[in-house]
Amino acid sequence: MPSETEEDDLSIPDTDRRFRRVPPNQLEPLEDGSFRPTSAVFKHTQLSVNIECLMVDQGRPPEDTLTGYPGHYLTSIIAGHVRAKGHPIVKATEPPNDPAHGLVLGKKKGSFANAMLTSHQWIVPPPKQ
Amino acid sequence: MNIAAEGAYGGTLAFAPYLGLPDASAATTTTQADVFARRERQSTAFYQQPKTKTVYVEYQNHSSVVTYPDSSAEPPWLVPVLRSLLERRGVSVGWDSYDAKPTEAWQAARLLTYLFKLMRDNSKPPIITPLWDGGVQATWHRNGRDLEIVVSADEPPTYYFRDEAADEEEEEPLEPSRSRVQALIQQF
Repeated sequence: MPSETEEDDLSIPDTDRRFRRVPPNQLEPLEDGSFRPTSAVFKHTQLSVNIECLMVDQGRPPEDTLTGYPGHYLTSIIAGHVRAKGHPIVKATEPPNDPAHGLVLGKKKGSFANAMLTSHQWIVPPPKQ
Repeated sequence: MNIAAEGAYGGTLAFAPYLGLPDASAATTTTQADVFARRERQSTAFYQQPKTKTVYVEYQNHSSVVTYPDSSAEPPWLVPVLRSLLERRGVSVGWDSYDAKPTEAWQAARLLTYLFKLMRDNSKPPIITPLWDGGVQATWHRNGRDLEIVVSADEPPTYYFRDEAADEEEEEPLEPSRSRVQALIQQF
């Protein structure tokens, strides 16, 4: 398990996406009937994600992150946005982790979580109400 | 309403608003559900004792108690908040498909107790969301404004407010900011 002080893995490009599963109990309805993740999705001190460049190397589409997790949705955040808030990104691919697994390290404040909420992009969104 | 941990016994944490008064109450009515039970309690002592209501938050062999002054009818936001908590809590380890801890009943009770202190009868009920560490947060969202009250497992409660249009953001400990948070809640 990487430590909180582990250095940012600069082999991961700033434009790379981080994929994160979102369970139904971490969705919030919006006025237009759509949903967004709650900020709580982005608050883990060791936030597990799948790393886009590793998935590409492995010939896997982003949606493969949801394999084995029916009923979950998939969102993405950009590596550069994460780094701009001071949080390092590291690979953590050792079994039993997913071979594309990574972590966004550090204690997350509400400002970080809500910044991710603002810039996140659904890959597999929940259906509108 | 003052909040304090009255005691821990048999796995139950009790939060009592009127410390120092003997518990001379008797149940008058009881309703029970799978997870929540509510009991109205009326003083049977001869001296003046405030009537209180008690909400039991129970799951996974743990229960916590939120007791609040019964100054009037039940606040309209209470049932939606309890329903949100019941429907959305983290049930088992890994409920988020990663390594999240189950929602702890006593953290939920802490949040509810804060909501009783901060919300008015006409306040909009927040959505309750579990945190990865066993804590919970209450969230209001409307027209580009967000307010969160966060009760996490490892630090004192905080609040976060953002007004996207005004480009304003604030994040502070909850306790010294109660009047500010009360005012913010009324914006939703």
